[in-house]
Amino acid sequence: MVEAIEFPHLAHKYDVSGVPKTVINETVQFVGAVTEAEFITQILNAESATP
Amino acid sequence: MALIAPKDKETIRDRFKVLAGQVKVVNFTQELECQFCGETRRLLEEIAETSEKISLEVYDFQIDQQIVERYGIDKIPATVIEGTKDYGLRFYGIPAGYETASLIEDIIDVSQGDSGLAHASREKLAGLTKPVHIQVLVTPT
Repeated sequence: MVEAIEFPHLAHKYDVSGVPKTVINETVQFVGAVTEAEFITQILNAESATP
Repeated sequence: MALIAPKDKETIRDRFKVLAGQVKVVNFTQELECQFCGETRRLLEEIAETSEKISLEVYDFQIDQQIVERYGIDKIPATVIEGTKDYGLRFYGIPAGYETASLIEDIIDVSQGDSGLAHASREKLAGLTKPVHIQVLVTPT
């Protein structure tokens, strides 16, 4: 967890316009709650997108 | 003044009846406490009081550099929830509002050594070959 208001440089870096904002490996980002299955898919996507 | 109301403290105490193994909560602050550092430390102290299974260690981000490095802490307030091993769980900033509930549920998961993930999810994640860094940015509500 990263509290966006206390770390404005991260809120700015990741362009947080809504919460929760999830950032995986700096390669995958999405806003809002997702199902567990969708979250797992995003983790796998992030791995394949990470050099 | 307490940050957690007596009634809520009872609710937390009740919720923690399911705790299994010891949990170490590691908090990083500094001598001149930043805006939310002191509040985070006090919140954790109050949570640690609710169960003998929870211990709290407080370190200084400026002074305790070896510990800061061991846990990979790069900003404060920071909170680590550690059980029989370090699962990589970190809370940066105050776990207030809904995040207090997340903190409590994380303490339970760590204590039980179980993420609660579905079997299918675990199977898929078992194929990961590199560590994954997940950040969830939230605002206190």
